[in-house]
Amino acid sequence: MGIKSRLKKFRTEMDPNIKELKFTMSRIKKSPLSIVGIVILLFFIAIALLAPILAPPGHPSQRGDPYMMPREGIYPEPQPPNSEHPFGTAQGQFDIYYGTIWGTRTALRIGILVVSGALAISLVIGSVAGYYGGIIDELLMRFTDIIMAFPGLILAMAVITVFGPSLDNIMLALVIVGWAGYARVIRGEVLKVKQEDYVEAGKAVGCSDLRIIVRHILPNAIYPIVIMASLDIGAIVLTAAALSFLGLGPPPGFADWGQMVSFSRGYIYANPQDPLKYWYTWIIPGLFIFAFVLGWNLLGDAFRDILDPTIRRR
Amino acid sequence: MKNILSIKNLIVRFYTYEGIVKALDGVNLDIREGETLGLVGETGCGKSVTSLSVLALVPPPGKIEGGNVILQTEDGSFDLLNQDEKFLRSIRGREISMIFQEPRAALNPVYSVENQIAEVLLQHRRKEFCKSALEQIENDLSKGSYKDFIYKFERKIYQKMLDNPNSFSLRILSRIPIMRRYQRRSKTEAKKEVIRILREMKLADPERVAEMYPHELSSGMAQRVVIAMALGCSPYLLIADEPTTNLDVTIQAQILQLIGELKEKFESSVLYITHDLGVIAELCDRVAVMYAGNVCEIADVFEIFKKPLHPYTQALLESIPRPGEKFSSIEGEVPGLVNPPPGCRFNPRCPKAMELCTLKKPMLTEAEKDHFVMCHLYSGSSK
Amino acid sequence: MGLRTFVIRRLLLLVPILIGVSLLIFAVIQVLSPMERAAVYMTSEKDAKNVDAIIKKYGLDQPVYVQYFIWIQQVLQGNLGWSIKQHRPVLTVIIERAPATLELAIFTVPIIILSGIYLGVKSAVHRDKFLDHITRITSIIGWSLPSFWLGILLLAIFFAALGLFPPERLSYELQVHVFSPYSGWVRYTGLYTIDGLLNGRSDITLDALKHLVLPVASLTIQIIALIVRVMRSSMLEALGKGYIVAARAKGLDKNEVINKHARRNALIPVVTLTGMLAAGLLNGVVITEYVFHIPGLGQFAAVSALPPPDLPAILGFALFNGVLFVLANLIVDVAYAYIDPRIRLG
Repeated sequence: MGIKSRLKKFRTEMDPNIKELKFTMSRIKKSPLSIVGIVILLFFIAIALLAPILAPPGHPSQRGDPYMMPREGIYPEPQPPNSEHPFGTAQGQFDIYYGTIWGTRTALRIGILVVSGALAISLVIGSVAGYYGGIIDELLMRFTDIIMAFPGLILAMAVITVFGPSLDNIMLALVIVGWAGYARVIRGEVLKVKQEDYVEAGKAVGCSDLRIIVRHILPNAIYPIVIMASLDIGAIVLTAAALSFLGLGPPPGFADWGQMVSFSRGYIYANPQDPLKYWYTWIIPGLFIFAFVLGWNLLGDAFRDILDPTIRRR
Repeated sequence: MKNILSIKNLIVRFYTYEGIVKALDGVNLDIREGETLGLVGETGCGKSVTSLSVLALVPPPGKIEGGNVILQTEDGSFDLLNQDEKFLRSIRGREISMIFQEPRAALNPVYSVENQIAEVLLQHRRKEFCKSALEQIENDLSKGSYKDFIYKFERKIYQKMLDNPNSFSLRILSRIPIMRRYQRRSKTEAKKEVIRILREMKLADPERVAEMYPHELSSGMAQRVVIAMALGCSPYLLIADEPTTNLDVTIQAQILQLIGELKEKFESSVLYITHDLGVIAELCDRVAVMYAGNVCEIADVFEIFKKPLHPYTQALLESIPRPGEKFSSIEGEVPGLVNPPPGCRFNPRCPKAMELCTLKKPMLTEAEKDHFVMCHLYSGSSK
Repeated sequence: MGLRTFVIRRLLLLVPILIGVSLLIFAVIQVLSPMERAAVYMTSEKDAKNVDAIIKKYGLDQPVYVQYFIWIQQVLQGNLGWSIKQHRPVLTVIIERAPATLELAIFTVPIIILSGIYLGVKSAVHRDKFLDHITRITSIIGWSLPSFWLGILLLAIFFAALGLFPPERLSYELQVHVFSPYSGWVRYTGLYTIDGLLNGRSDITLDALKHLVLPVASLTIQIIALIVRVMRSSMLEALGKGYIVAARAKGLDKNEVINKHARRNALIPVVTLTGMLAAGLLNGVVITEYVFHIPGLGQFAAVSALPPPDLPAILGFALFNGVLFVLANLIVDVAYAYIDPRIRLG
């Protein structure tokens, strides 16, 4: 088939999807919460992209790693915001402004990598289980059940304690914990799509199983799950921040929001009379976490409302 | 012949994303005492909306925007569109009842059959059950046992329910879960009545059916249960919104027969909504034909079949498949009601359309004795 | 089928899942170094010196499947390992710390469930009106707050600035009273709210309640969004069903229809959510106890995970949690069957 006719075929195949998409877009525009969410997210994405401009790396104390926060000296007491350090400095004179800006990149990195990893694993497991059924399905689903039998944070903590604390291990742990939930949903979708006639047709023509799964089943099953998963990025970043806070994440001085709050916790408790004295060390990074997650959750909530078929046509 | 219900010029609009749907555009309908009126029309012509409007249960985004629905009871005549919610609640289920198309959808899956039928009985016939509960209490008291103080307490409660059902103390009592036990007696009495009604519905083994849950019932049984709920309080008018459409033919026949018998026994009128002309022919005394939000013809059932006057009715009857003949259907499509055709809504498809039809909407006039048509062909000929 | 049969069937299904859970933990144990693996079996400080004896005694040089059975035996006898940081068997630590977490849970769970259901129903009934928007926004905000940040913030405002609600479980003087062997204090349950009443010291009960306000608030704010969101959407779905119109056509009052008919059906998906609630609680408790210095299970997990990690403690604790969670899900499933007759009748 020539390119032109292929494109045309693609257009007509996708058309009902395009119409749905347009309808979804219009509903999004009408919901103020989702617009706020989108604005917040765009703001953070912009910061992440512009990080090298907003907070240029290259300070000698960073030793070449732009993700380590620069520090001027080693004076232990945090300094309040001033002209040189707009958000102040944390314990050990790490620049908070730099940390929060580059922390945006860390957060997005964590979110995207974990979601992609969890999706990849769950896609394989879920579609194999759903497609082949029978004992393979049973075994895989039991395995999924067992993973889901543990509360997420605790399992993640167990994994990190075994492999050692670091940012990469946080991501690994969250992938291990996270794929199970998606796998169930994917399996459900695959089961639904499996009944469709074009799958039968594919089999009748002699397509290999892999081809059927990849070309026919997955594109139809995948749409809701990708949305669901990307909206989970907020929750993932939150959990990662909690793990960093507990000390299970990157080392002190790394530009990660959770780590920054953890860093400052000594100074909060040390001063019961005036815990807000070093407010900038924990309120500012915490605010970034909150705003970031809020953006995702607003969008997620609005999307859930929009995609929910029972409420859609109102 | 008295009218039980008169619908005059009913206008209902739905405010949707795609625009304002002018669902009912001046519906006129009369239901007479003791008759079965059939309401025929294609899907989407507004039959269900009409029936829901009678009970003021049109769901949002729909709104009733004009007209009168006049109910004639022994207490007088009332315009249902002008009444407050309290009055309407006393009408629903008691004077006007409704049964629906999908019987199992009308039943709440988490409550048993007897629970749901007893619900409507207790709602409207509570005094009866209080009285028989009180009799039971006297009976228990006369036997004399250590439980006497409980019975005396129950007697006080039921007496209060009889005199002042909305009293403050009763309302508080009903909120406390443990104290709800006092309702046990009236519920037991109501359940006896439920079994009696179920027996009337020709259900085998009504005691067992009463304890079942909706998903355990076959559709035929479920529809009988729904009918039992509707007729429990002997309504003046039973609105049946396509009750047999989703049933298979043998069950349909049974249900139709049942409705016919019950109608006689309970002395109700029936508004039977359907798109099946065969059912109309079998069950109804008079027929009203609806198209795109208007009633275009009302007449005696034999008249309609023998001598249909409105072009739409004629085309409908024409399109009934007969063996040996070619299929004929009505040209064109049912119009979308966001932008309906001007004038008479049937004019784009009407073989006898005149210019007048696109300009002005016809009125429902009596073209022949007791035979009303909404068509310009007949508006000249009146008494 | 009946409720009883259903429960029995679910209990039987429990066994393979528990086996699976234990297998997973065991697999993780195998990844550890031999020294650490030995630590999982220790029962006292002395054993640390005698690693070879342990290897012999628990057959750590035997093939894997033999090891598994030996380990399971130990677990069933109550030996969940030795906590290096706490210097005590893991099970002992768990039992000792459980009441603190339980006390937290007893107050948090009912509040979350009851207010979550109430708000969810009200949101659905008044859809898109002011109340709905406010409820949804506040619950989304609550869900987005980092748990540790919220805890610290609450402490900063209500403790440091206003002096109203302190962290930990009891104020210092009362702690002395409770822990002193001479004061006559009897530890009945380990929950200070209840023990205070049982010991005739209602001031201790009140004090404990005062200390509970902030942690409970912190947990509630975070988790309530879950319940509200699901309740709202399932209520909206229930309100669109046919039996709602049918019930109104019977003449029932609108409120009665909402409460009696819609809500009961809407609760069904929420009941399954309670499982997620338990998970959220177990997760949230880790951070909350850590921030508020409450000596409960969550703090145990947090402290054990801090580098250098106390591996036997973490693994023993994870096992304990897994079992707990599986049991919690069982209870949820049974409750689900109780509410929805369609489930138990097959």
